[in-house]
Amino acid sequence: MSGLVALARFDLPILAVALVIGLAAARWAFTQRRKPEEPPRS
Amino acid sequence: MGRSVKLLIGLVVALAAAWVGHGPLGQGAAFIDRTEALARTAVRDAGVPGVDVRFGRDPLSRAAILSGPANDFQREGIGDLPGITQRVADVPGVASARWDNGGRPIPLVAETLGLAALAYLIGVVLGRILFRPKRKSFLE
Repeated sequence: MSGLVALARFDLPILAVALVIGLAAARWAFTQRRKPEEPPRS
Repeated sequence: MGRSVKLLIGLVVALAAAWVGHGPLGQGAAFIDRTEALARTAVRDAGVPGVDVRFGRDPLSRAAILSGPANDFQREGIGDLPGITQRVADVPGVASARWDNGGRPIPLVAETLGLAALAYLIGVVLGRILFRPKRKSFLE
């Protein structure tokens, strides 16, 4: 287990990139885009 | 496009990025080089000449393979006095240490991709909390 922790510390840049991609994917998946409202017809 | 498809695409991108860092950018080989140097120092400190330690290179692995002339006492130690096997196993980053070349160690790339998948999952959970659509009122 401590060996895996050492690997995780060494691979910290890779893990940070994966975490950021996870954040971006969550934003993409969970944010609802609203359709622009149509202007009132005169 | 469904949420699960988007999250799956994100996972594939995260694993691809981790693989590029591990392989083509040399992060995996650098980790094994560093761990091997530390393990060689541990073997040298044991004071038994002719003993060598190496790690799997194809594929890369964190399993140390010891070789050379050493008796049981030198290999396994006695009481509180650790042998060469234990000294190498205690080196940060080493998964296991043994004197034969048998068995199939876990490839380093599998461990790296597993850690990257875990980091991705943490990112998704954090993102789910951060980017959750806000309710306008408690009735919605």
